[in-house]
Amino acid sequence: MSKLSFRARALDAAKPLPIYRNKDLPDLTDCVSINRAVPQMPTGMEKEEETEHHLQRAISAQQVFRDKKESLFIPVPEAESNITYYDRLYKGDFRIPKQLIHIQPLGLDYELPDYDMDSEDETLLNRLNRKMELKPMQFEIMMDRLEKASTNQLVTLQEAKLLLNEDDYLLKSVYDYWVRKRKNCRGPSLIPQIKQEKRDGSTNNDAYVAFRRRTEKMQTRKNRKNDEASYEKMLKLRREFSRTMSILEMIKKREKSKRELLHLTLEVVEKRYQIGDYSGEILNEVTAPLAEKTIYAATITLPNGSRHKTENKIKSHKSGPKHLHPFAVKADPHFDFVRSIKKYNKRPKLEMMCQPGRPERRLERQPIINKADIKQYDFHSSGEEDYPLSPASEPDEENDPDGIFAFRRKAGCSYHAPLAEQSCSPHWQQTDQEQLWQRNCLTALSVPRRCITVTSRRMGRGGRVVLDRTSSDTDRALRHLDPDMFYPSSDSSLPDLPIRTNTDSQTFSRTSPQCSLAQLLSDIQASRWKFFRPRPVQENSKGEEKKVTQQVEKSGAVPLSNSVSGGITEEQFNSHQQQLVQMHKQLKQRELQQNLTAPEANSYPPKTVSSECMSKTLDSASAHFAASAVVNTSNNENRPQIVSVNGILPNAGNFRQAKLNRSAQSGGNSDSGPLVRTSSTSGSQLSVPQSLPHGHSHLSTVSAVSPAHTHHSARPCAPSALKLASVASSLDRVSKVNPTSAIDSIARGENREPERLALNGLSETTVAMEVT
Amino acid sequence: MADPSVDVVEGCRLPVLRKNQDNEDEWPLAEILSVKDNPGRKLYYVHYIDFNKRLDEWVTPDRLDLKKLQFPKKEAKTPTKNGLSGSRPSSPERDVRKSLDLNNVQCASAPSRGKTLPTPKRKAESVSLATQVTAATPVPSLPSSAEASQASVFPAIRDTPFIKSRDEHEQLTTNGTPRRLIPSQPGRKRKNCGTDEMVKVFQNNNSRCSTIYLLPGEDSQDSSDGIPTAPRMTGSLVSDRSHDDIVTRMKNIDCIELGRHRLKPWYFSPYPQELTTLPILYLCEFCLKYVKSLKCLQRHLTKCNLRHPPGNEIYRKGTISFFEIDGRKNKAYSQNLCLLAKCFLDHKTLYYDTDPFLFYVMTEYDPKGFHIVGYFSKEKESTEDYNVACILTLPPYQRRGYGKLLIEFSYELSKVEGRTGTPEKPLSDLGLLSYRSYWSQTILEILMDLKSENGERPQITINEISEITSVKKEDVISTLQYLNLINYYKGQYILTLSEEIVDGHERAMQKRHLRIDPKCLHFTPKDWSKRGKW
Repeated sequence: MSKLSFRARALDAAKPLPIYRNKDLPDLTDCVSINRAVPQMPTGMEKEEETEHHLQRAISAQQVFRDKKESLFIPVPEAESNITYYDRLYKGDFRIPKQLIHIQPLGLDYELPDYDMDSEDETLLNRLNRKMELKPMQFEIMMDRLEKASTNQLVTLQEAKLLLNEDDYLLKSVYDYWVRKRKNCRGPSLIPQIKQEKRDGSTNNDAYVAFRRRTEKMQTRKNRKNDEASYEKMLKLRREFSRTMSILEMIKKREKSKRELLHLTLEVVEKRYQIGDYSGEILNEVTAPLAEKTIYAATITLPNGSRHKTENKIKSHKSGPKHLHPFAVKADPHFDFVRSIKKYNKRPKLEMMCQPGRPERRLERQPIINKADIKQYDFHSSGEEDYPLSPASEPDEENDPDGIFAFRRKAGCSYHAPLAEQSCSPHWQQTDQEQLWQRNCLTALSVPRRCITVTSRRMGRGGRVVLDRTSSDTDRALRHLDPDMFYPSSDSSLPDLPIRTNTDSQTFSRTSPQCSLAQLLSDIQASRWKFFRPRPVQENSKGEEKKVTQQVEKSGAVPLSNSVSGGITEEQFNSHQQQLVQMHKQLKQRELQQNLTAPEANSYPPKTVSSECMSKTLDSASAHFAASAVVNTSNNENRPQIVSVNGILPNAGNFRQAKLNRSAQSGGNSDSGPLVRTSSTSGSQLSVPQSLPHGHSHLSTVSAVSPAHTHHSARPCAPSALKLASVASSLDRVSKVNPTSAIDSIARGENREPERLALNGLSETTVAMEVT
Repeated sequence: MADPSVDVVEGCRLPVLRKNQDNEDEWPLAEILSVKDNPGRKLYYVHYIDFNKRLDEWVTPDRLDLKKLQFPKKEAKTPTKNGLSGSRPSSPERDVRKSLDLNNVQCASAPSRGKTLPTPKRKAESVSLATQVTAATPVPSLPSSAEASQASVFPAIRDTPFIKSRDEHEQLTTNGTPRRLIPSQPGRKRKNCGTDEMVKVFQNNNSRCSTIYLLPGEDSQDSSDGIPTAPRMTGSLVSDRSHDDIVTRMKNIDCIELGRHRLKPWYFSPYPQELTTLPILYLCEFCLKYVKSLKCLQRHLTKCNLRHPPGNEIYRKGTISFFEIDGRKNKAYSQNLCLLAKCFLDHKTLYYDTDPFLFYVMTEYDPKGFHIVGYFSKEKESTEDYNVACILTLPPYQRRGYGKLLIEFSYELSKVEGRTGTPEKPLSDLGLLSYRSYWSQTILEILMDLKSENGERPQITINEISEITSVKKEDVISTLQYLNLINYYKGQYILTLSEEIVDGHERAMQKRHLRIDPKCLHFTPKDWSKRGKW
């Protein structure tokens, strides 16, 4: 067979190779020469090393002798294995565990000093130990701390004192020793450490620098230039997607809280219906202290909010994820995070302009979003430096006096109103009469110059002022009052605003006017109670009245919407409250006395009522107190009864409501009568009717559903029907309101006055409800 | 013999006395790498040419044969170290670079020819260039696997003595070039490659640490590599010679005490520099912490309660255990282990951190604890089918079958992973021998066990062998080849088992007591790609 007469095919790894023993192939020698056709495989060694004598000898020895001879191996430097002190050095036995050893991820429980004492230290230690006891470990800890605290500069003695909580003498001696030792030490540290790389790249070729950090370089295929660009694009895309994710997540949260709010509102209505709290009185008292809270709850569902809510959220975490801002992305195609921060500073201002009246604090009081939550979708690329981390709750704590104790609703929990029996706090005992005075004020007309009893003022359509008259037992006396006696200086003048007076159906208990009148007057003059007289336009009236009206004027062309508290100022209100408390105390005392003296007597309604029906204790008590407040002595036969036709009407500046529900409003006026009746019939059949105070400010919380409420409560209806109706109506309203809501919010913002914070919050609740 | 008048400086070559294995005197040629002027007498650090670096040592002047002293040439002091690269398979860029390096060497040695110097245009040519330069060396240039078929054209010249005079070398590179292989036009990749520049580069690198041979702009393909001095970030073996400078060429630690052993390091290791002057560096046997004195070690042992490598034991049979250590989670231990291993592994790089590696530490148990015998490291994700990055049996345990056990274990892991693997290149001489031996035994085991079915000859494909053993196909082929098993017979390839081979194998297997028992392996591979960064 000619050696080179043919070319061998390439070796195919997938082709079966038959295995022969040499003895089976006597003619094999012929084939050997073409063995070369099989490609030579590289040895995988560095070439210059392949040539080394020892290796070559070993290889050839192997090939020749096939493991027969042992003497041929590659010599290596010798190693000894006869350390005599080994057993003394490594003490103790280690029993082999039955199970395979599994190490806990967090190994050492406590930090042991890396510093190991040497014999030099030992002599010092021995010297020191003559004076005091210093354990080697303690010494090592000290040295360790000193070492680790000092970088290029040695720790000073002062710093060392802070660092080591040791006796002065000991500290001084160890410190001095350490400084000396450190100066003599050749290495950079007394604890030998691997040289670290330096940032400037000067150590790139230093052979002693090891374990450099791998720079985060994209691992793309080397030959494709565009891979880097596309990789970057992918990164960007991912970042944007994660941002979208978090935005959607926030929207989800928002919608959930909207739904929760709706459910809660429905629940409130239902509960109120069950207790028969048609006037919103109980609700008021429950919500009054929570007024602050309500504000925040409201902001969750700001009408014009889907966008700027997210903004707010982000803003509240300004230090946090900058690039999360949806606008920042848009505004910043280059993805320059630093620049996007600047943009941030503008945005809030803009927002403030839109809603100047919005209480600043609301912005911070967004529902807490953990930065972690946001971050979880956030692709953290190596290039970005870490943000200065601040605890997520920080912005909230600053403005929330309750701090961590602040009440937060928990999803899935239903919160019931406090039971009436428990409500014996003074706050609860504000009686109807009190409320009468709180919501209404003594009013004088300037054209027929006379006093017209107690009224509450509200704003009608087109800015007309509507005075809702309330009858009280003092009416007769009040009517005779000279309006000028309150403000002698103010001239009589005609109010420009047309006044429509709603006449009340009254079954008010009469009290003996002679007792009350003098006190009444003095009270009013002492500003304990409010007094209102339509202010003449041309006149600069003095006194307290002025304040209010000025504020009204200040609020611009839009007439004052929330006339609820009349012209009450903050001080007035406060003093009034104080007085109430005082009076309540008096009442309690008296009650106590009376209960003691004549427990069986019917003379005191509260007693009676409470025995009749526990749940109505409050009402009767307050009714009693109302009476006593006005007249000091309660009338035995008659109960004070305040029935208000307009009680249901929302008065918290709802132009919009007026706008949207004109018919409802007018209907409300007429319908609320039946409502009251319904309540009194469907209620507990008590002789004590519910007092429905006129347009009390707090009532506006309820007013959200009130239009529907009024419509449907005309018929006696089950709470469920009510619920449905309110849902329907609220849903109905969504589309209508949304476009106008932004404008409305501005208008509302302008109307806002600082002392009516609570009110605003409530009115915002209304708005929020409309959005849901 | 020491003659103070003769100035023996770095770079000089001369025969140096050394004892061989049989304790006979030899005078191999050696190169002076460093001179230390100790009070009283000088010491010379010598590298015995054509012996492994691990035998380099400090010698007293009386061991130098000054009569045959060769002074260093002005240029290219150690071209063998600088210019030549391994025969291991490498990527095209590296080939290009290598060839460029070679060109530089040539330019430097004969600058006048710089302009006319042919430039490689394709890889094959770069290979050829490498071949012509290394023609001086007795080993065939073994090109990258991709070029295997082309490269096989160049026959191996095994017997040429390596040491040639400078002129001879030059002559070889100029005249010995097979002209047909060299393109007449300059290559595209070296537009900026002017002679002056090259010379300048060379002069700048006139010391032995000729780190940068790359010329500006020439490395367009490899631009993503950034600073050319930094090694590639995958694997743990150096791929270029940037750190092959005088510092790393010299052992820096005299002696290491580890447990009951005293080890003489073979190579440089970047232990803190202040510790390199110590006569003995003490290591904690279990956590491998390095301390400067016995006292420190004593103190350390009062605090160190480790009695085994700080990882999970994934294999135990008899006294042999394997522990898996994550280079990211247990940095301190991994670094200490690497520092120790570097003392015995020449091409290992500690340039980068240990994060992308897992360390499998083999231990032997005795009542004192689990004593480290050897280890191998493995990339968590290897793009090149590497199942071992570095592998080492500590010297006291060498030549007792532990190395093969480590290798076997590494392949057992690959079997569990269901893929084939190969050790990262370059292999050391000992590594090559161990792996070849392991491959041979493993493959022969399979071949001998094959029974003929229904009267026909037993047959097997290379792929099948690869699948069964998890040895990468290329390694199977090279082993078959090395064992001379592949023959061409009657129009097809066959595997022939000579009696010699069979006998040798049977004897070897009798001696191989230590085996991995796959049943004792408790290992679940992790998908590191899903775990973010390593």
